[in-house]
Amino acid sequence: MTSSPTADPLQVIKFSKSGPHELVTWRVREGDQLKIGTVLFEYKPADKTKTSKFHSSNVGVMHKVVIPEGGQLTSSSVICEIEKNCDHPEVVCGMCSHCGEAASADTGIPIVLGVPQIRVSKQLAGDLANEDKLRLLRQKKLALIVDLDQTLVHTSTDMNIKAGLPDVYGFRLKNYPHCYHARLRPHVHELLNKLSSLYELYIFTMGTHCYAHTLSKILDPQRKLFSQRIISRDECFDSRSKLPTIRSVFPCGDEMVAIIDDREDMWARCPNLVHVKPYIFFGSTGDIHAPERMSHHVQEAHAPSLPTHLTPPVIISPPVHSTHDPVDSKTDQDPPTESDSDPVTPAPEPDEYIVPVPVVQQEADDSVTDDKTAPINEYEQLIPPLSSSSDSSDSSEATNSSDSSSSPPAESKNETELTPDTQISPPPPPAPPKETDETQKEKADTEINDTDKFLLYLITTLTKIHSMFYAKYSKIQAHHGYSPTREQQLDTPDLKEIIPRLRHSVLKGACLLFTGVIPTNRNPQEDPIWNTARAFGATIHSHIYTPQESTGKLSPTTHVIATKPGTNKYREAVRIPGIHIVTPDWLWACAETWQWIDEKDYPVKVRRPSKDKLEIEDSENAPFTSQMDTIDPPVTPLDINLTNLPEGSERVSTPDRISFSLEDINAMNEEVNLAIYDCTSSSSDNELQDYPEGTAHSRKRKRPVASEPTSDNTTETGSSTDHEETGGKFDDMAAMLEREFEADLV
Amino acid sequence: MFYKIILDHEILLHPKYFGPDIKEVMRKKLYSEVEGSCSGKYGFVIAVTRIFDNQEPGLLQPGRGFVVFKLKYEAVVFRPIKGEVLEAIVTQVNKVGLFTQIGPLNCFVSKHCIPTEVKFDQNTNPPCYRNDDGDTTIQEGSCIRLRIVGTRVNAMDIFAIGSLMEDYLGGIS
Repeated sequence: MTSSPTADPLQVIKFSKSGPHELVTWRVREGDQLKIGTVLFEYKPADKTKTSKFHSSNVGVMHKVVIPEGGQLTSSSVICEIEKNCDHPEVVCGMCSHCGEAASADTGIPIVLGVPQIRVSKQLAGDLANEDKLRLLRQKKLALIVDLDQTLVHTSTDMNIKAGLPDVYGFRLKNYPHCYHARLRPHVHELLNKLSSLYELYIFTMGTHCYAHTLSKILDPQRKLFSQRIISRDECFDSRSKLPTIRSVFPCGDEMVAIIDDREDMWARCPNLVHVKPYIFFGSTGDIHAPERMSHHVQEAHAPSLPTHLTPPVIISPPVHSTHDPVDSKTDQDPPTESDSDPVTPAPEPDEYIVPVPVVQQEADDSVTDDKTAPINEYEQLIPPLSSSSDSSDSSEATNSSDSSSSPPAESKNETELTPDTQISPPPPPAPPKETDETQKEKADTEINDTDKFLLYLITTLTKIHSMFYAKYSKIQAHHGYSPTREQQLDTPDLKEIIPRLRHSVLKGACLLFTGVIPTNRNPQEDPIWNTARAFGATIHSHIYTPQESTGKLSPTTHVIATKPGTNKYREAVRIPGIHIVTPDWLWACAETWQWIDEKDYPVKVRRPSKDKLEIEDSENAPFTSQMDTIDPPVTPLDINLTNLPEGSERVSTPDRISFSLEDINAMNEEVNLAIYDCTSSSSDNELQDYPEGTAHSRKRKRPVASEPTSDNTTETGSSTDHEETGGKFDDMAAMLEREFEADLV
Repeated sequence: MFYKIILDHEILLHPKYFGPDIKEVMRKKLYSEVEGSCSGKYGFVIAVTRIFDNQEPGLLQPGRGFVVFKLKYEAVVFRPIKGEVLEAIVTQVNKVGLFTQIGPLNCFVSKHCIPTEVKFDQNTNPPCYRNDDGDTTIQEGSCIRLRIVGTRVNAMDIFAIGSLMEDYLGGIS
């Protein structure tokens, strides 16, 4: 109650009715807090018995009672004085909602989803948040924030999506030209229904308000699950991170909040994020609501295509399939499906070999760069496996999985039927008669083959998280020993610890050794697979420790993760019984399901002769070729998984390698060329340049194009032939200084 | 509160309308431009009741051909007044209060201004405010009576804050 009471604090209350009245009782005492409408006293006309109430018309504190009970009231007699003080804890549209006075809303926190006009003071926000928390605790629930795009649904604005796909809803939004098609991820209803008893569900999407509400109507027609808890881009403060918004929705801490999202970059390594493998159904579309700046990367990120994948272990099929689903999304970045329509020619030819797939998910450097690079990661996941479908030998699996991808193209042949109106069209019956047999078949395929089971695993994971939280909570309660008071109830465990801990327990006891997985030219600790393994609790060895060797704290190596046989470590491991030799797929599968998966399904296959990727470009691509040695995309199945594993929170997308797209490389080449050119040309300039003598160095330019510092110099003198520029800033600087100095002399 | 007042409005008319039914065109144009509009000064224009005969000739816009007519009309306007009691329809219920509509006017009732025995219940669908006996339930679509405790007037719209903290305010059936 500190700030900004209104200017005139003391207000005199006068009686306004005519005729003699008697004040019967005071209902407030001096010092009481008054609201608008609080009954101050009761009075009656002097000659009657029926009393009336006198209401306060202000917010404030009763300052002084002037007329005592039983006193006479006459017109305009002073009854009491009220000290107005409203610190405007809740401001709506520039007006305090308690006292009705104009107030500034700058400091308030918008606390109600979707109603940014309401801003409340910190204190009030805290109270409200505590109330929410208590309510959740009483109901034994937690809060769960779900993302829409590529987490629960995949939405495309592609015009060539045919009508009649199962679980695909077409809709249009007001003021947007696109026709949207949203495909629900398999099991999404199961997920929502099951989890709604454990979690209070919030939608948080980067789509527009309208989009979010339309989809929530699709997912939850009765509005039971989400109610009004929908946050969209329009309510969001920062287009590149969801974190600040969440802080305002949960101003009192987010220790009861779990998040599922396919994009870690939006959450800045939030520990309570459970990463979701992105769901892609319409091959041609990535994340339609990716922040704009990020979507540029689509173009740059040439996704490697996944060649054949050999082993689709049954359990883990989701990862495998989904990788295929993404069909061409990435390479033909643009929604238009030209390339789609021609499934035979793999869109992404040249590049597909360039970038080693496994690298895809990199925990790149640090959060700073993450932002920028992250999108790439996302797009890679959409890597077109077209080549795989064409040449894959185990057709059944591959075809299946690729079906969903190939169907869009097929669809494009059909007349697309776009839902004309804003209304949601229910998913059409599976096989409308008009369709040809072929398409029907295709449809059926799609239906059958979209075997993304990720959400089932997610249910398990989230259920576990919930029960861990409440197990811990009841322990805390028991510790306090009696029914909790308000404060104690608020003393809760923190999901930001529980989730990482649970994740950490998944592979606890596993001691992994990577061979041929992490390129030698990078710091292994920055590699996503390394970080994922760590996040899931595995220990990582750099050498094989046999049971005999291992002593004390050092436990023997349990798993060797290899992409191909034939490395030294691989051979060594083969000789030691009891060590599982698995592909990185195994690790990704564990990371996806949060379970220790049977290693048997992930044997390392013998290398199959494959087109050598070295045909790639040429020497310029050195970085890639070197990686190629380490990782062998065409052969190993793991690559596939790599592209879209679900990973532990640690992994922050964005492989730097991947970030070298063709354009990047070309740009680099150009730069080099320019540099070389510069050198030669500038060497001819050298005579003209007037660098003072100094140590003569061969001129080496670090910054080829931009840093030619000399153009003006050339005109100055023609004397000195030597000049040095060792290439560092210092030299540049020194040269400048000297020039200045000389100029002064002149 | 409703007022009947006389207002001015300028109409810009395209030359193609200059003809025998120009008055009719002007009348329609006036209705469509004025009714439902809001000015901070007079409130919401609810209905035009009379158009005075146009005394002044129109003014030709140089170089454009459009003509500006100044029309005088009488209209019913709605101007919320602090302290007024009004009936409102609830449009949104949330944990900090109620959003309501009083005709064209948006009005917010803070939880603070709702009697304490009427509590927010998030678990019902849709969420509502109700007291323990259950005889008062305020949810989306309910009709309530409220007292306006403050108005904020901008140039083009008006917003109000309401209160239910009094006898006979609150849900009405």
